[in-house]
Amino acid sequence: MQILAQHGYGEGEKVSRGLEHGLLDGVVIGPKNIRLSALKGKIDGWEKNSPQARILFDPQYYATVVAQEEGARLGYLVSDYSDYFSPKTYKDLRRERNIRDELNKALSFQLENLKLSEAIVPGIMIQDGLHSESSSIAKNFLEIGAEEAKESGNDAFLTLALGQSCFREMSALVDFVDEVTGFDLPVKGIYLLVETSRHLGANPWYIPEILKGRMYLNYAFAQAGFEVINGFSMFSSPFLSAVGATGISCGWFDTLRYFSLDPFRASVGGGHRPNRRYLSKALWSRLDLATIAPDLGRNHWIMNEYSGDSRFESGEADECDEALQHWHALQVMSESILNQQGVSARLQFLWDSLNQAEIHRSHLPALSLPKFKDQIDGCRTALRGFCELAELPLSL
Amino acid sequence: MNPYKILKPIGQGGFKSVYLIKNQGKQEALKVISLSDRRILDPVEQEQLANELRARSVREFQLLERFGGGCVVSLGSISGHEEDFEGHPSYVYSEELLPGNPLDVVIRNANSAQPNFAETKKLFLSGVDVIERLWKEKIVHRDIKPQNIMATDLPDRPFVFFDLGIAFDVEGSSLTHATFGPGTLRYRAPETLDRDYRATIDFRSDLFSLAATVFEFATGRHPIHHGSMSEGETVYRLLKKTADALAPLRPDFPPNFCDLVDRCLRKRPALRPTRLQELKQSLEA
Repeated sequence: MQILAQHGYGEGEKVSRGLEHGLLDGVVIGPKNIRLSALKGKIDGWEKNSPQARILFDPQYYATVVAQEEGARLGYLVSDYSDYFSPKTYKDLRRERNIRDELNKALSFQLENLKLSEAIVPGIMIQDGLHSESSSIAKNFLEIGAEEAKESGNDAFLTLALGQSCFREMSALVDFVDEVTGFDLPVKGIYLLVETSRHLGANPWYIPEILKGRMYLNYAFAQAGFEVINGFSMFSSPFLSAVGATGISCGWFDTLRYFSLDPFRASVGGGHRPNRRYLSKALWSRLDLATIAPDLGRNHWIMNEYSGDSRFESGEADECDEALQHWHALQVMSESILNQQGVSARLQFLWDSLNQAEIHRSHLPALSLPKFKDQIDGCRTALRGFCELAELPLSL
Repeated sequence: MNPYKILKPIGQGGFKSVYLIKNQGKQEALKVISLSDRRILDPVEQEQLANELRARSVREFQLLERFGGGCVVSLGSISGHEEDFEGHPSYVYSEELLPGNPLDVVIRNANSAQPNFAETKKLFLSGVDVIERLWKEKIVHRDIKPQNIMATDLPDRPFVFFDLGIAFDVEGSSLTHATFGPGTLRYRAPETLDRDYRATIDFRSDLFSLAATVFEFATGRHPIHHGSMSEGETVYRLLKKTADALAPLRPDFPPNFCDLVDRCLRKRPALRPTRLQELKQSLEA
């Protein structure tokens, strides 16, 4: 499985260093916060130094439908990416011809301006449940997008962006997957985005219905022969790798770990920079090492044997170190899962690892927080629910 | 006076009768679809039934005109037309006479040896070929089952599929009344038991029916319906119970083949193979 960086800003060296150190297999670029000229330079640099890297461009087209809102924060999308990006309403996107025009513009932009491994065909986010107008439009984007991608002769991924409302009724989600996998979609894969706003709670990745649904989407699309790249997937990544994901993508900033339209809307509060944390494979969580600093010497098994561990132990780690460490952790977690043969064995391994993490936690009083128990229970519920949805004869 | 000579009846089911005939010196199978039902007394209802049966018969004839040949039965020398057959208004046409036995007879024959892998693979591939050809024109067979497949002696056509009477044009209008249960229950994909199934049906429903048929051919038993189960039990198992796995019953078959049959028997269409070309390649590998 591939680990990709979700790229947001032009500055910083996280992606370059991740590629150089073999922690990343590629990058998914989000154009909002980078000028087109700077982006072209970035891509040239990545291509030169890491020719094997998979370089994808998320057009962030889903933000067009909030672009007319007062105070919308669109960065450079309107100025530098106006070839394909302009404010839209659902009404603008009801007609097939309009969708085809929009898709052509976004595909042409990628093919003519950027040196990419594959194109990402844009889509809109299904915001109001799977029986909504946005759902109808999103399905049209998938079908017409696949036709346009085939016409262009380039390998492509179709954007499928689902709001949290899509996970309220699991039977509707399962029907939706039945329908979409029945479309004739001659493309390489799906670029899957699932809303995981922090408004859902501190750790939206652990919400059972969303995690279960996300796993099922990956499993069904993989079974149908698609590559599935999961944007903004962060902590759900090991679960997704177990069920057939081709790639996961996340970055360091909150906005690159949680997918939502909120970053494009008017700001409702101050920005939030994440605390410096260490992603522990043994504990299945991101730790503020300061919390357990006095005990760290005796509990060195918390660390993942990452080459940069000493910088965390000494407190020197910066945000770049943290990003690299997280990608490394996701890499080793996914590798250990994929070493198991078959989906059932991988799910069993995940289950056992969660149990082990809970036992480990109980030995660290400073970390024995009720919310961790809730998170683990959420994962268990999701795993069980997924097995049922996927018709896997596994008793967890 | 009919130009053909009826030799003997060879099949009967529902409104359809099949006769062995001789026409222009050649033996063929004559399909006779009765357009009336004596049990219905209301003339309006009788007319509605006749219209439905007529439309279905014409569609089947037209489908055979388009798809006949290869793994699908070909039309014979008598073109589709209405005639008064033994005192009943009927729709009549002929099909080629295939040498062999219906697959259900082969399966039921206690003296038959279990089919080998090569034969079973041929059945699966023939079925996928039919499903693919139909689906290219957005047609779903809806009634794939052993009774509608002829196991022939023809080396290049070992399994020939027939009876497209309830085939469904996904992009066209429905010709079957909602109360007509399309297809035989135990071979029906779970999603077709939903009242609104027509809105979403596609070729994956046929894949389910085909896999149930292949499973039964390979093992002599149905993957879901066992013994003398009631209709209710069969429906429950179709919807809720995982189908039997093929590998334990045919350990001599390659695991990948068994896995493909099992996958086609999954409850959710999304979990069945969705790319027919790739499925064929996997089967041929």
